[in-house]
Amino acid sequence: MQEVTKEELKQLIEEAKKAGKDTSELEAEMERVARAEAPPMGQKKEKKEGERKIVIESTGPVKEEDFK
Amino acid sequence: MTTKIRLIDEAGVLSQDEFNRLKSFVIDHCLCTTDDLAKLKHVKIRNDGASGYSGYWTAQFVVVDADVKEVTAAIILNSHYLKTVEQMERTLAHEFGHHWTLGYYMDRREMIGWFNEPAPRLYYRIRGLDPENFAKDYSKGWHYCDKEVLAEDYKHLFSPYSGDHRMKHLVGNPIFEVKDYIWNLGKPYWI
Repeated sequence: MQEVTKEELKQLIEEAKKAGKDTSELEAEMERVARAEAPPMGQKKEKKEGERKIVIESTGPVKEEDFK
Repeated sequence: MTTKIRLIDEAGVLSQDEFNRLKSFVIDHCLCTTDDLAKLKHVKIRNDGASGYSGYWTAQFVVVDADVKEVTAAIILNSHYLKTVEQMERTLAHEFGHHWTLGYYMDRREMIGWFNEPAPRLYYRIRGLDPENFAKDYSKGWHYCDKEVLAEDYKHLFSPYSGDHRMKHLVGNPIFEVKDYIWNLGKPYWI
């Protein structure tokens, strides 16, 4: 998982600008003083199917569609 | 190496040249083997919006009794933040670092449930991590999760993005012993 901190966001914007990419959305995000909450990190989900337990662990969020 | 990474550009942001470059990045420029590549189902580029992450590694496995089977993993790259192919490569190098380290910990049964237990003591010792300051999970923040330090170490030591260790201000860059340690995780453990 790569958390995007303010410094990281600043770096991403500078690099993208140099490459001629549109950064307006990221710059608007930069304007916000702080994010409302931290990104999802280390989520886990377990599902029982008879004898089998299916586990998804993530360094970020757990999304079943990630495996489809 | 004949194994390929399956790259899916769901966001539709890459040109054909960029797609080809990113698809071969891990195989051409990072430490990998056919064993670990076989467990990586795909790398997806997706717009996950202003989620606060530029990418993550996720894995699915089946537990029957005490046995772990059918381990498969995926890497997601968030095109909301990653606008250039270089940025995608840098994040992919970090996420593949999770795939290498956490995948082999699972293979070796050194860790089942990656955030339930800390990285092995040997790693803490050679990396100079203070167990009081670093955690097995994200409870002390992203920069203080031992699995994230490991992924950054992999990126620093085994990818072209070596000058960019994000915990350098906390623990410095990894030394050669850490390089051997990470490399050896991928060697057959019965040797």
